[in-house]
Amino acid sequence: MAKIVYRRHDRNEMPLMPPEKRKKTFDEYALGFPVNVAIDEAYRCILCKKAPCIPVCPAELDIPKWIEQIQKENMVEAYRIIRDKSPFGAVCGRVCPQERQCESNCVLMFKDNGLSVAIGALERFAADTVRISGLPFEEEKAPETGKKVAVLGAGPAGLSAAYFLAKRGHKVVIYEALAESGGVMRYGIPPARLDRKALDFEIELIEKLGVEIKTDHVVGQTITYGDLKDEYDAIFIGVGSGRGKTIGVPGEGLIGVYTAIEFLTRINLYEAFKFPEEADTPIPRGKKVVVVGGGFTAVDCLITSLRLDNETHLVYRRTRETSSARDEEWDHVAEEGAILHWLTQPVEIIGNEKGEVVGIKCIKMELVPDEKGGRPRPKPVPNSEHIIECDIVVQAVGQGPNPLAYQDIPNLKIDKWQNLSTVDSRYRTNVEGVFAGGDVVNGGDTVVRAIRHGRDAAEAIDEYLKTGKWEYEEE
Amino acid sequence: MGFPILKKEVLNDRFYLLEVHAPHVLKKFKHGQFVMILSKKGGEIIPLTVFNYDKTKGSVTLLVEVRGKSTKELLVRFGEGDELKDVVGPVGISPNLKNVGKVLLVGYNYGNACVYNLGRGLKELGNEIHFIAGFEDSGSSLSGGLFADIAVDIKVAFGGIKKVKEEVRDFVDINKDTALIVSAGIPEFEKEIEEVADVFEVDHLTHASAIMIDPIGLSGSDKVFLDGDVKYASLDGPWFDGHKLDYDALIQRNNIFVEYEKEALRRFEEELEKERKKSARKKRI
Repeated sequence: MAKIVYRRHDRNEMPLMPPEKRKKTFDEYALGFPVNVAIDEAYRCILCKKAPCIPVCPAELDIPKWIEQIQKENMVEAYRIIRDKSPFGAVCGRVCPQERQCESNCVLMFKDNGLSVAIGALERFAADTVRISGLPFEEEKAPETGKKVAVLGAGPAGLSAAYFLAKRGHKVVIYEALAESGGVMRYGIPPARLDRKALDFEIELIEKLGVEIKTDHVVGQTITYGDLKDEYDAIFIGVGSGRGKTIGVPGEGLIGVYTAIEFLTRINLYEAFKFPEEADTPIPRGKKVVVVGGGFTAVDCLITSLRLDNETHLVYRRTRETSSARDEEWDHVAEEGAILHWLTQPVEIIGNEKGEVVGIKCIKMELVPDEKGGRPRPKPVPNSEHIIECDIVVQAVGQGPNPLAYQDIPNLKIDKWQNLSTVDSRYRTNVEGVFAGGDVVNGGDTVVRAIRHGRDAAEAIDEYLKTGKWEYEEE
Repeated sequence: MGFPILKKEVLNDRFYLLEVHAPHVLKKFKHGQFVMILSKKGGEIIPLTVFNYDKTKGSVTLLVEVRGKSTKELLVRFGEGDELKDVVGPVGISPNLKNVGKVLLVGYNYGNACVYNLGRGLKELGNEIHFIAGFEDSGSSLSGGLFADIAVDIKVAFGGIKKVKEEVRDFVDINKDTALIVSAGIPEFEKEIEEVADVFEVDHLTHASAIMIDPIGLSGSDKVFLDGDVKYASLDGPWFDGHKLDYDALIQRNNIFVEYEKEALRRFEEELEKERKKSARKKRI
């Protein structure tokens, strides 16, 4: 057997549009690997038998197995292996925080400051190649079982559940309140980070399995639990946790204050960046914008704001290192001109006599160790008040629940945040036949974790449909 | 797969009726609820009250007021047989209605359709309905016949907000047994009606037309303030206690995009003007 060569240091980097160019377009700025680069990168993977990258992937993709197919230049097979575990390879290859997941535990990193295989870029490559090639991509599904499942919400959790249920031969209908499917992948993540063609392709593949998506259907209004219970054998709730939280300081009612969800929805779902030529939904441009927050959503707001030609600031009460967004992404937005204010906490939004935002008053913070051993806590620095002038404040400080879709289910156990963390290990709620997964269960997490919930729930739903057994595990 | 327009009827320069096939909206529809429509990709989603409906046909009829680009475009670019990309609904809550006796419905422009929608529910419960249909001017006012079937009397009033307010004051002054005023229009108008309701100590149910971009309160754009509480017009509304609604805050919020909306309408009118000239030239040739 040939000796394994550890190519620890020659990682191929993702080609990016230069900052000056990319901040002027909503097109995707990470350009993807060309074929030769992808194959070269695939050969850096030593195809571990017991691969340490797999258990740290929330969807536990068989990473070496599909990378091996890329080595063999069999992209269709690579994509098929990805899809055994997740219907969103093109999405996850782009939006997963890989450096904290699969790419945090690559064998190549175990010595000499080695660099991980670019797993995310390869995952994207496999999916994009299949899409762009236009080759027919058929997926097998089990014979029809005659069972019907209603899925509430066409976001990552719901679509994933629908995909794995359809493959098992069940008839699935998804009910979605918005005009488009995709959930946060559509209204939240900007096209600059996720090409809509890639998203549409993966949703179409799910529809090709016979999954029907009914948009414009508000569960709880257009159709109620009572109707669904009569028509379906099981229900999966994957409605997310989408209601923008506010920072809770004076001045939130002023003109120019947005939740991240409103700001992003206008642009991503209704294409306000094309206003007024090709879209009718407005969004301010050429202003001074302050985004409050330190997570992925804050980054998405920055990316979006910069592309609207706004002077764009971030304020976050912790440091860059303790934020939950990726290091690389802070670099990207800084290159594009975002001004990042770390250890800065807003205390008041200031308005003029017309009720318009004119600035945001902040204080400086310092991090002090947490007595209970948790993350270091930010503590205000005395006499550090200052004002950042701005016209717009975007609050990217987390999501709250939106129980409209499940508030009419009799006796459903809801937690104190009005979410469904009350599900058991098999994603069962306490109401027979009703399952839940994704952000509605965990309150706000990554796309890939929602996909995993959908997949595991589909397995549990399948078992329930076959056995009729319902054993909700009380805590 | 859109929602076909079954009928379009132009009432005057300002108002038209649009009957749309959207059976899914009607299965659970209750009086007072509304729909949201998006005419095309790239369009603007707008909330519209259900003015009329036909359950056997599966159609809803919307009374549309030309206000900005979207409503103008619907008027000139969409006709019978065309499809709307999205019709979402029903949205909002039908308030807890009771038989209270004498009810005055008062609308202003498009708001007449909203009070009419809710009024049908009130009528079914046995209330005695009186209707003041308010309009900005005589040229754009509609026939009282449109709203008359639920009311024991209907008065069309035009000449602006103050004029309609006077009519309301006169009515309540004479009819001391008025148990409830229901108002809808623009918050500037509703605020004036609240003044009357407050002076005469009559219950007041009013309609909050907030900026709304989704049907489930996701974005929070449709925030309204009631005695310090934050509510969402799409989730908790559109009907609120008129004594509690913060009209000034709503007026302020509704002005957020005014400049952008004017710009969009101006561009669209320019486009229409160009087309007119072009077709006029063709005719001459």
